[in-house]
Amino acid sequence: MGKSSKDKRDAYYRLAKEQGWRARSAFKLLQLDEEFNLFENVTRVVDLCAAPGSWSQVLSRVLIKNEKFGRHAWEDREAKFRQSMLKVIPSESKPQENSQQHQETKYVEPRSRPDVKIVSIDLQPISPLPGVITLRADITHPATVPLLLKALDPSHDSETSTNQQAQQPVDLVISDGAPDVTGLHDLDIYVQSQLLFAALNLALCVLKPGGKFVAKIFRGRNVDLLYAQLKVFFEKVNVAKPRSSRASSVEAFIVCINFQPPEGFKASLEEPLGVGGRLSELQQQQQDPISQSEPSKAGDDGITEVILEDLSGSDNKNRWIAPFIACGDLSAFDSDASYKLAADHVSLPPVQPPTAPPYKRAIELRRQNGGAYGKPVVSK
Amino acid sequence: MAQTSPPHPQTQLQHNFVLSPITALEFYLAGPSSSYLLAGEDTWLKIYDVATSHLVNQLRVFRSQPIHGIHAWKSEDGTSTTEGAFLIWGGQSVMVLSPSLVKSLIQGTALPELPTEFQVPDWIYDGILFSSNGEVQGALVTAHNEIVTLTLSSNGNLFQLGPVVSPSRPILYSANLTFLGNGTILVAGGTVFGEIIVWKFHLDSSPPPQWEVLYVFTGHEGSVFGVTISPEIEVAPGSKIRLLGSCSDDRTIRIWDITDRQLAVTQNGGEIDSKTLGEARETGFGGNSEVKEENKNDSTRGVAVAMGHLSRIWHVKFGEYTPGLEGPINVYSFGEDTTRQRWELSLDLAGSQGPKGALKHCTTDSCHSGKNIWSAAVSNREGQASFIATGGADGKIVISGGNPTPGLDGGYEEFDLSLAFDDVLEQIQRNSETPSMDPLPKGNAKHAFQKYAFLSDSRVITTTSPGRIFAAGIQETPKWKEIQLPDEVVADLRSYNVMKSVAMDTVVLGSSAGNIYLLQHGKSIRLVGKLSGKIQDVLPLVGAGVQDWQAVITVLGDDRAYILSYNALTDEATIGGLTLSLPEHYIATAAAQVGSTIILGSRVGVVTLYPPSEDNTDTIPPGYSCRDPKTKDAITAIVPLPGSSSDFLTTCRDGKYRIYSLGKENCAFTLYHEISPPMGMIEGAWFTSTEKPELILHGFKGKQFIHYNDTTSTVLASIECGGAHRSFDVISPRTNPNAFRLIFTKSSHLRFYSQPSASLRTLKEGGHGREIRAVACSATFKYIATAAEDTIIRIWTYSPTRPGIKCLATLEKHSSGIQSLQWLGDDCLISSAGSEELFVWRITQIDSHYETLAVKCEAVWNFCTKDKDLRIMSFDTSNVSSGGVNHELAIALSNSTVHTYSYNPKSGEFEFGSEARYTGACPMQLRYMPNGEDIMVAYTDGRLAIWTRPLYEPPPQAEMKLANKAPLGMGLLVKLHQSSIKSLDAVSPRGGRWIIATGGDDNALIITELGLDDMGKYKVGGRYRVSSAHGAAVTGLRIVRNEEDLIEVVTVSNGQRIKLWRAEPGRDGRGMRISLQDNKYSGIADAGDVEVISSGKVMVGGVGLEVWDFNPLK
Ligand SMILES: C[S@@+](CC[C@H](N)C(=O)[O-])C[C@H]1O[C@@H](n2cnc3c(N)ncnc32)[C@H](O)[C@@H]1O
Repeated sequence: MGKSSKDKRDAYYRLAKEQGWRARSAFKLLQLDEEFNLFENVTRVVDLCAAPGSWSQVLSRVLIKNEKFGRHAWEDREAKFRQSMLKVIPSESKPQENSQQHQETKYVEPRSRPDVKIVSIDLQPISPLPGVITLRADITHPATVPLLLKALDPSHDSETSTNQQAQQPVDLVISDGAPDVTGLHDLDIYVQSQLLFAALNLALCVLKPGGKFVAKIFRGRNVDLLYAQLKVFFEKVNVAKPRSSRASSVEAFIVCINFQPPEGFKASLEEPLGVGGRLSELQQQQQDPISQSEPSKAGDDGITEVILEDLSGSDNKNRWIAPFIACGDLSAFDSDASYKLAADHVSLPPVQPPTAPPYKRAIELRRQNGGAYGKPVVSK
Repeated sequence: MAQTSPPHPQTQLQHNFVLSPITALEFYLAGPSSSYLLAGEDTWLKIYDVATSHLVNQLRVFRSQPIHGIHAWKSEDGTSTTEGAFLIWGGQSVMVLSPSLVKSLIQGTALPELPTEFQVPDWIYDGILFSSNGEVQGALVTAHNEIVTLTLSSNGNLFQLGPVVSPSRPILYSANLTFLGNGTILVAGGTVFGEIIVWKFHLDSSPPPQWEVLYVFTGHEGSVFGVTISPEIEVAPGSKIRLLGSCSDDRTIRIWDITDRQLAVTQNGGEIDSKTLGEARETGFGGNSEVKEENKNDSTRGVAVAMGHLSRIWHVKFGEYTPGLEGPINVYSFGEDTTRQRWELSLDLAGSQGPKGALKHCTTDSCHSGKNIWSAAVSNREGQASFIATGGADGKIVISGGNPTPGLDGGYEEFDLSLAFDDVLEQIQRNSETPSMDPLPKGNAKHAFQKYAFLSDSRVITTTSPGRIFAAGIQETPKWKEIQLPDEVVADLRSYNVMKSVAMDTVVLGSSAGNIYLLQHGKSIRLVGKLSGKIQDVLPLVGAGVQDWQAVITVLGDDRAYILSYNALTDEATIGGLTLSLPEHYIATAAAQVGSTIILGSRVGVVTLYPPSEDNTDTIPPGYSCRDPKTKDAITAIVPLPGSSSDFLTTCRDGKYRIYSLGKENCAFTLYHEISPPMGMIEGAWFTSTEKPELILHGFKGKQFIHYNDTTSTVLASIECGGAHRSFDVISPRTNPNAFRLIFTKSSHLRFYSQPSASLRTLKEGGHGREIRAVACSATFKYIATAAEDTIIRIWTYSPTRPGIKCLATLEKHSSGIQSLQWLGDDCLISSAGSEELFVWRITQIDSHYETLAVKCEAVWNFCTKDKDLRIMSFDTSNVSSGGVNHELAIALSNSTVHTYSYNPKSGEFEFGSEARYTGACPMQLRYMPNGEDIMVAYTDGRLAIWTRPLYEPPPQAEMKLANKAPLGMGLLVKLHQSSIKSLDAVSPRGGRWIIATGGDDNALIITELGLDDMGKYKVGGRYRVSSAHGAAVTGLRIVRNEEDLIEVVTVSNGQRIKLWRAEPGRDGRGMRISLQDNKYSGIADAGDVEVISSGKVMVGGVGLEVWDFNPLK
């Protein structure tokens, strides 16, 4: 596949290169922010599984350089034009109202936020970014907690302190972690949930009450169990899909708002969540079981929400489906569509080359040996 | 809709059939002669008899968790009659099947109650049962390197889980357990970061549990996906070693020495070193997070490394070895590339650094389609050859090895010989009784083998450059003799000759002088005729007769071919009674007789008919001649279809075989079937003479010679031969293609290969090796087509009895993942894919004893853009407006456009109609409205549009055609989902209404009512949403019931639930009531489609396929 063929098939891949992002994922975070105002009143952030670092770039440019990114960053002008021509927008929502709402939600930030702190962690090295502390660590490893605490608060001393709670907590923890998928679906979902729990464990140590937590999730088997577990710690839990995330992928983002640790809860690295029974104990303690009929955001779009009669008799204990929210407005580029490139389109090189896969050496060796691994050997 | 009708009973979903990845395999050697293979397919345990391939029994073990591992345990001290117990796990679930349950499973008697499914706090990677202190116990190792012990009750049921113990808790990608005796378990775990931790756990120690880390191995450069502990291997009397095998993302296989050389077991384990764990430090790749000082030198215990496989390696296993290490140790690896590779590990024990060795690559067998071998098992029983079994993502189980089963093989011996010319000469001189010919001198470098022919199963013959003929009878090994020839024949055959086997014990030879000889076993060679020039070829006339055979003889530069006929009664062979006049420059390469018509095939792919001459002339002129436009390669064989007097098959060097049918009066033929089996050049074909004939092909694929059963899609033999273009001959018993002999020349040696049975055997048939994206059923439920990411389409029939579904054909022509499928009636299928591919397939049932579906690609949509990089997401057809002659075709492309065409099935041509361009959003689903003109399209932005004829008047003089070309107008646009509409179905108008059901990426199910307003324009009646219909995207949806006052919808989702919904009018006649009738676990991950396949049955396709019944609750 040629380079520009990927530019055509993946508008966000092309945009990322044009706008200097290290990965197309930057748009996922920007679109999540557009919907949830993630960065409102935020100065201290932890970015987990951050390599190659496009989310950290967003943090750095928004929080430190005070840049603003709106929909113009990912708007498809032609789509906008065609939408008005085809009356896609006016037929349903009033455009004035739309833009007004948009303005309202754009809170006014002070020129420069004071005391910004951004700590980014990944297994892979992250090239330096202005104002961002980058650490190379495995987020599932217990040693990462003290490492992070020390980065957030240089006076923290893991030798003496048994406290695993940040003294100066953060406002937002984000995690875009994903394993190398094997293709064995339930194993991949399990490994992904372990990354999510690892991120949650870290968040529980460093997040201040009222803080937010955003993490990648695979919407597969038993995802409703995960949703219910996250709901133990946060007032609001939504599952969001930015338009820059492919519809064909199981990926989505869990957006948890207003951190409310259960009474008496203390994050502990000896007893991390995700394995064992600690979480289900917490769930049992929860006062009111969560009901499925939380009003969904899209309730005002003229579609009648049906009160479902469930005759199936299936057991929904400990299961809950977080409300779904699509983000990135309609004029955003569609990550599933193919686009025509300008006749003089030049395919740009990626901002950062992708990190070398572990099988790199195998590929090199193969090339040296002219295609096969060593000499062919007679069977039998 | 009447309110008073009696209430409908609730509808229920019932699981009927599943074909899904085989995620666990284990051998259970019940007795000296009874071996079983235990397989995990989704939640099911399936037990196969290894000898007969029969499914002995099956049991649904877990409620909603696929099985990931099985451990069969049999008491060592017990007699061979006591049954063992099975430990089964998957995810966090675990179950023990007690000896009495195992016994009833194997014997097929009524099953006692299913034991309890226990839940472990974490994902399980391995488990074992063992007896310790006279009690049966068990242990599991989890994804965090933890051991959970199991206590069994006296009747062998799992009773209680023990505490969780671990020396450290990195995330693992693999783990393996072995019981060492003395209450000790050896644990090996492979981490995400390429480390391997080997530790010991002491069971019987009083709490706190005791453990001891033995080794931490570093060296792998990627996640360790497989670890395996060898049994203790006796290397010399009294001296034993134990090895560990590992495989990784880095494409290497490594062998480590884990022999415990400490005499006394230190019982020093104990507490987690909380200081080391609590310290702030960087971890991750290159961090060697778990390596402590005392383990720094462990990696010197690496014994051998080898690189193999094209992608990730999932498993490594130890196979058979000779005690005392007289031979190598067999090691097997299994990968994402669907291959199984055999390695030989040779060890050098002399060094001071412990054993060192080398892994030598031996064989690569491709066992499965698509991607991934998910499970593998190697049986290890001393003194017996190992069985090796693999289970794929394709749901297939392949087995090999074991000691040959008498009766199953075809009576051929097993050998693979490579003989120099002088080796054969020496044997001849040793074996000869009274040579009347001068012995050939040895050491002549110019002497070479020329042509080969099998006279029978046990006799082969070769011509040589000195003009002499050698023959070998095969008893155990070939015994070479020389055939006595007159001097003038030797001179005539010297340097050039052709030789073909034409009948049992009979070959025909031709020389450059134009002489034709007949050589029959036990008789002297005889000259049967002389033609005008150098004999080019002798082509047996396939299908002409067995006793009285015929052959077509071609002569260089002659415009005629001659027929050699043999009369068995008179034992006379005559040439030239009949000749065939050849088209210009025609070089015939294959010949057959179908009915009374002779058919020739040429070197450039032309097939020519010679209908019987009417006026009894001796020379028949060529009749109809035709070449497939896509080929210019030689026809290598023509074979009449068994039991048919009009159908024949041709094989071609272009890698395809084709089936044609002779038309009326044999004056033409038509192509029905065109298929590319997995080989590059097909050299020959034949049908087995079994009750149900099977098609056997042979040919070349790269450097391999392939012997292939096309009916079962099985490679029966794959022999490294150096590539095409060489002399060879093959033979198999007509009733057993698994036995096979091949003789050929390789680097001036004669290679002679013989196998009693195929090296690989399919124990269970599979399906697609990648995710199914579309399921479509033909008009009368006759055929089901499935299409997948693996670019393959399969056509199946379903029967309610075992085995449930049967694959009739596989269609391989697409080059990228298939998006959509649709039938026109029962005999035409349309498929669309990425890379702008849309194909129309014609399906015919062949009238022959050979049961197969004939399939050919009848038309290719060819309005592609320059780069051919758009995906055809969806399409639909309608024949309303054309009165049924042409088909209207509408296709949805990933660049936000919809195109319409008129398709003419007669000419196979498409004519462009018009276009509709949306905002840029990608279309996902497309349907014609019942008027056959308007098109409903669902997009990634959650909207549904109806495109209609443009509403402007064409200028009076303009032709209809021109008006046609105007872009479509938007008749309706309605917002339904928040994001992508992933599934859609609609039912026809009732009183001018339509009901559309859609499933979205937003987890919602929406029912939309559509009608027409007074002006005849589309209008939305109501939209009704179930917001969180599934926990994940609703990827498949089908309206399965459509009645006056209700519809029922089946939905499937990435969340692996299948749900059945009922929508009916609201209580007061307004609005809509929606109820969830049933909600079940589905074994199909990444579901892509659901389709009704007969009344009351739906099929779900995704990672595998499932059949569900839906019926009123009784
Ligand atoms: C999709 S990428 C993140 C992209 C990033 N958000 C950006 O915008 O550039 C996923 C990352 O997760 C990281 N990761 C996976 N497992 C991890 C673990 N256990 N600890 C830390 N990082 C991990 C991978 O190294 C990878 O860089």
